[in-house]
Amino acid sequence: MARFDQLENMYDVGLKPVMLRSLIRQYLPAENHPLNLNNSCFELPSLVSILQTHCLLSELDSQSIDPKLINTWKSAVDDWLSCLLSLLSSDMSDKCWVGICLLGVSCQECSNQRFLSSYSVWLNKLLSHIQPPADSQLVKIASCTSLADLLTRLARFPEVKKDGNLLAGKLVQPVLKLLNEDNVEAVWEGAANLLYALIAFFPASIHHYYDKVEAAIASKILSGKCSTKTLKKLGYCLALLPKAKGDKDSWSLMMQKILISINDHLNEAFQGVEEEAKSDEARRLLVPPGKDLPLPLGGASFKGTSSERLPTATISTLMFCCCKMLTSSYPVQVTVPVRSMLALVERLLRVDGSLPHTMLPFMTSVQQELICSELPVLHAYSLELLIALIKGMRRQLLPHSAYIVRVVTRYFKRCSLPELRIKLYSIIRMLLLSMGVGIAIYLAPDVVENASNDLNSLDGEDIETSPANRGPATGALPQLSNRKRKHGAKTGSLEEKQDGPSPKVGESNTHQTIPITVKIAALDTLEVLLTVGGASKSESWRSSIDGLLMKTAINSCKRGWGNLESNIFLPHESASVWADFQLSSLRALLTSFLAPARVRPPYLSQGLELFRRGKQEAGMKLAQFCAYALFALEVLIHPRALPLDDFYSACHNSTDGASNRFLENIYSGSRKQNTSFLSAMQRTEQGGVESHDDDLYDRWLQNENENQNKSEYIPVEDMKDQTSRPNDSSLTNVLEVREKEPAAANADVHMRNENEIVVQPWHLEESVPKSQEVASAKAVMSPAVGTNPEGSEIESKTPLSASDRLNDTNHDMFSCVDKVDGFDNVAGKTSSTLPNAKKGSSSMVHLDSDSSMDSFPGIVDADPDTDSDSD
Amino acid sequence: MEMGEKMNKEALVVCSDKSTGIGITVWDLETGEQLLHIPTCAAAPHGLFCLRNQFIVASQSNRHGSFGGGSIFIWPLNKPQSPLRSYTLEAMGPISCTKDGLYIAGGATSGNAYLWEVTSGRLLRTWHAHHKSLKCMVFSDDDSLLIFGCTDGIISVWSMISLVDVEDSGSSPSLLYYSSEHRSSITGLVTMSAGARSIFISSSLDGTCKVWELVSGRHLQTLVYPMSVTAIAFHPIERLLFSGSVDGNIFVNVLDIGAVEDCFVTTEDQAFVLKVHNESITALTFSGFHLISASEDFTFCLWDTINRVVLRRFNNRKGAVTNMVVIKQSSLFPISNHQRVTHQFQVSLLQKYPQPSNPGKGMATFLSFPASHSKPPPTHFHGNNLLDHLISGSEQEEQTPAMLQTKLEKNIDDRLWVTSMTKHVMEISKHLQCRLLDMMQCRLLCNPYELDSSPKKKRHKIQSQNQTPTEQSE
Repeated sequence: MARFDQLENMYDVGLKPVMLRSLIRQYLPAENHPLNLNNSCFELPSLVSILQTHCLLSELDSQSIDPKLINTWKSAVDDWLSCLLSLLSSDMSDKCWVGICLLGVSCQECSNQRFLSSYSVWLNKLLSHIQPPADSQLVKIASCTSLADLLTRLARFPEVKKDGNLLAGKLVQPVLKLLNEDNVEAVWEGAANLLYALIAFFPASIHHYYDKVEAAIASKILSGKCSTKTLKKLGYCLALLPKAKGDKDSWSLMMQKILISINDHLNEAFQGVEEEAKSDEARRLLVPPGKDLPLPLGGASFKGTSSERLPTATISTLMFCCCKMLTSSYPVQVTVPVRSMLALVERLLRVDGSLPHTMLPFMTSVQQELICSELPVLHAYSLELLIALIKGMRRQLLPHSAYIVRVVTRYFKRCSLPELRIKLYSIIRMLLLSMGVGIAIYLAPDVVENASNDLNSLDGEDIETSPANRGPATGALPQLSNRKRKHGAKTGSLEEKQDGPSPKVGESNTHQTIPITVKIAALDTLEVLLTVGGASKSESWRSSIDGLLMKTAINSCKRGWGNLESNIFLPHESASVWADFQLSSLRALLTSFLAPARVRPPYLSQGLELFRRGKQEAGMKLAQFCAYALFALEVLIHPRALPLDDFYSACHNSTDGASNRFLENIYSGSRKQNTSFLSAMQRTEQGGVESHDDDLYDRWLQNENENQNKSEYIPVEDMKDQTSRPNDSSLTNVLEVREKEPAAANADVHMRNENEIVVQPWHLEESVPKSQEVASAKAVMSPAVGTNPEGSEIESKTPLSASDRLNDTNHDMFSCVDKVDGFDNVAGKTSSTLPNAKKGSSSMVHLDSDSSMDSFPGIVDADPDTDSDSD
Repeated sequence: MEMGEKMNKEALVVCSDKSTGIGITVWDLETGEQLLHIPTCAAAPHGLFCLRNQFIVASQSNRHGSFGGGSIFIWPLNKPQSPLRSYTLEAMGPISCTKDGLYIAGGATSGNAYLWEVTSGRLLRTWHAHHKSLKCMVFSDDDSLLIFGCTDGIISVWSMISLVDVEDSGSSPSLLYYSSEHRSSITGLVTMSAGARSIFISSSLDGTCKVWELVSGRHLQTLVYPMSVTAIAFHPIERLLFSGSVDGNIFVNVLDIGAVEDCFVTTEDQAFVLKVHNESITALTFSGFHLISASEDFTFCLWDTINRVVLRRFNNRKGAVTNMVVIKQSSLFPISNHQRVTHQFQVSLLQKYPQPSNPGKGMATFLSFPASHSKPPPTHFHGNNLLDHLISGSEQEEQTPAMLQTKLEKNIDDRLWVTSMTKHVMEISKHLQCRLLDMMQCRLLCNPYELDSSPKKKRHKIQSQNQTPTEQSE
């Protein structure tokens, strides 16, 4: 037999039955053997993990189809299951519990065939443990959970849907009995789990018991005497319940009932803190005049809890229920009472615990204290409801979005609890994303104001370090921007903003500090605002936000890079929150660079430095983002003037970026260009080498020698960069010409196409002045470019001399363009090499800024600047 | 590219504004066949669009009834025999819908504008937008702004959010800005978003196209043409602007919006020209990367814009094409092929008059995205959670309720057992004590003189002491 053979390795299938049998021996208590509950608690997880990692119950074998082996395995699984079933029928509740738990695991793990053949047996066995004779709570809970697993698995087999519904129907009443008659909360929770599985997977089974289920759940929720977790589970079940009927009306009815119930509870709770008129108004929205009041939730009316305690738990569960109804799918179109839900949200958010004048004499301080202590929870849930409404309705909410904006902005001014502010920020993000730039116009002022306040204030950890570190960081910014470019009014406002925080330092020390999570939310919201509405009327706030984001990013990174790895000794949040903050600030910074603006981003160089450092030093996630940021900014620094695909793809197959993968390609591209319209000069320079791809390498070597001769020093490891750069940087001149006169260049190319396909004399005539224009423009442009590297003298000499040399040769070659017959090729070839040229020039800039970034930040800035000037 | 086009072939819907007899024709662009003909439709320029890929909506240029109202017809593409005929207060010229197909806007010759919600058919808003006749209208790419072009050359941009505000208190002005830079009637509006920066381009009979920043309304660029521009279209991915002119030429310009900051005028000689039509261009549109141009010479052409050749020339014998819409051919198939798509918003008759909104009435919608419906949601099992939970609970100090419950149960059981045992033992001992006492008494009473040992003596003493009072009392 296989088990006596030497096992091959841990993947050997023969191992599995053996392991399963030893598991049975080792862990499953024999019938007359007592079970140590404490021990089994520690043993069960290892047992389950062995079962799962080795798929001991799967009976699936991809490698061998040895029938003997299959039989061995099958009998081992048979033994396992019979062992479980005997445990299940044991009198001892702890043994029974172990059996039930393991049967649940077996339901997940066993093969389809086995599951289908025995699910009804298992279901009946488990069912017997939640019915009256059973008395152990833990056994009931475990059976509920295992039954839920069984149903979940069963739902995956559409062919047994009908049978499943039938069997599931048998479960409903016992579950309701558990909910109604048991008095232990843990059992209710288990019953809720099972109920969820029933509603979610076998809604038809609930259909007959719809009202009873509703009543059972509602009574639990309305009593409000469970933990939040259990209440939420029950609320979720209630929200899904209309699916059992699946028609339009039951959803609406359920929603109406829940809203009325919330409203009634609120009327009771808010007595004294809001005007009576409010509750009437809410009622009118809920029940249209002339319509009948539906039955209260759960059928009969329940007595509210005593006035000692606010029914917060009930209200929040019902609101959670509304949220789930809005966000979970429903088979048919439903009518959402948007107005009354928004009115509910507004009503809740309006109440802040202050007493209206008319109510002053009727309230005691105890009552007020009671309400104030519970209000944050209610506010949080009403914001959740708003979120769910936006999620559920999406763009259909448009007619109400102005109203929402009013509610949100009004609440923003008063809301100061961190948790609520975070929620508020996320609502704003959702609004911005779903409603687009139109809503950004209305939201931007408030978002900018609030986010600036949040970000400008110091968080707790910053307080002791900030005054010292703030100086250089903020001091450098205005100085730089002054030197770099004349911003006009913008620089002024920026300086004001930069100066702004310093008097605030003292001020914000007295104020409460803003938690870092709020700052993260504020940064994320600014990011979305810039993404969606960066182009909107942002002149007023854009420069200050750009400065703020730069400052925040610098501050977030000055204490080293956070690590997203969770520390086992700290709760998860505290370990990664700092890294999250860094990530958010860097993301917002990148967005502020990329968002459309009239001027070049003023802090680009600092940002680039930050991203470069992050890429090298930070942990995985941050480094990944920094790399992405550098990648994205590449396009900003060197705008890609890709050739128009449609027009060139016909004649050039390798013009797109894909061909840039290999240096050879770049080189040959630029080389071709040189050789084609400079053939005369080439001959003199290179001894009449024919311009053929075959000689490419030879000429490459020659060229390299020349470079080495002329330049003072080329480090070997920089070879690639160095050699490709001179040629390409010479081409940037051509690139700039083209950017300046794109249409002109294009006209030439079209003309060239025409030459090849259809000859049109009209175009040929026109092309002559065109190419001259290119040449002349080039002559104008090249000195400007030439001065660029000269201006920054700190940079390494090598690229300078090389590019200078080629600039000179370019002058020559353009001067003889007129004489060359194939001048019409100029533009065409130029455009074909554009991406290459750009790549070359970009690598140059990178090197420059890399080398001198640390020591001379101010001067490196000149680089992107002159770039933009020449645009 | 080619593959993609074959996968979902496109068809062209054309219609004319001259007479209702011409109707709507749907053409297969590849084969040149007529796929469908819908009689009785004559739509004004910019008065035809495809709603949610399922409906063709056209404003009817002919008047209905004696009072001069207009009408908008909605044909389901897969069931074109039964259109929805909505009658409007005025004859509609240009109409347009949002990308999500939730709202329809219409403009009348009086300068009044109308806004409907498609699902309920509710007329959300009518307002006097312009003094002169509205010529064309378009929604911004994110549907949040509405742009009107007028015959007097005025362009206005409106915020949808305040237009459709249910409780419009007049607080937020709907009009974002307007511009009267064009000297003659607007003929076309095209929006595009270049990254986060949205722009739109307007064409006018004054022979210019102007590029605007959408939100701020800043004028970015003007393109000057030798002729009046009657239609414009933007290449779907390239920076090419196609502008059709009155003499039938189509000018092609490269639009460099990214670089342009203050470049005001570019000249027409940078453009090259597509020339086939003899008369004024009436409409331009794109199917994939192929341009389609329609002209008053009763023809429309499919262009290869790369080689600038006409791939196919169609002749609409009955009249000049004024409206063209490209649709997916698949949407023409009868309903049986589409039954998978269950989440369809209903389309209602558009109301003629605005009705007071009923605050209690809700909004019909589908919950959750249709996409998430095609796949069953991933399920996960509870069991492991419970197990892990129990186990982690017992390991850590903070115990789960269920675990506590178990332990408590065990404790209670134990205690109950202990109590019962104790009771039992106590009972037994009591019983034994009683028996002992009884026995002693018996012995004492039966033979008191047999006791010799000292303890017994003591007892005897006690006994005698006890007895003495009784004896005394006796």
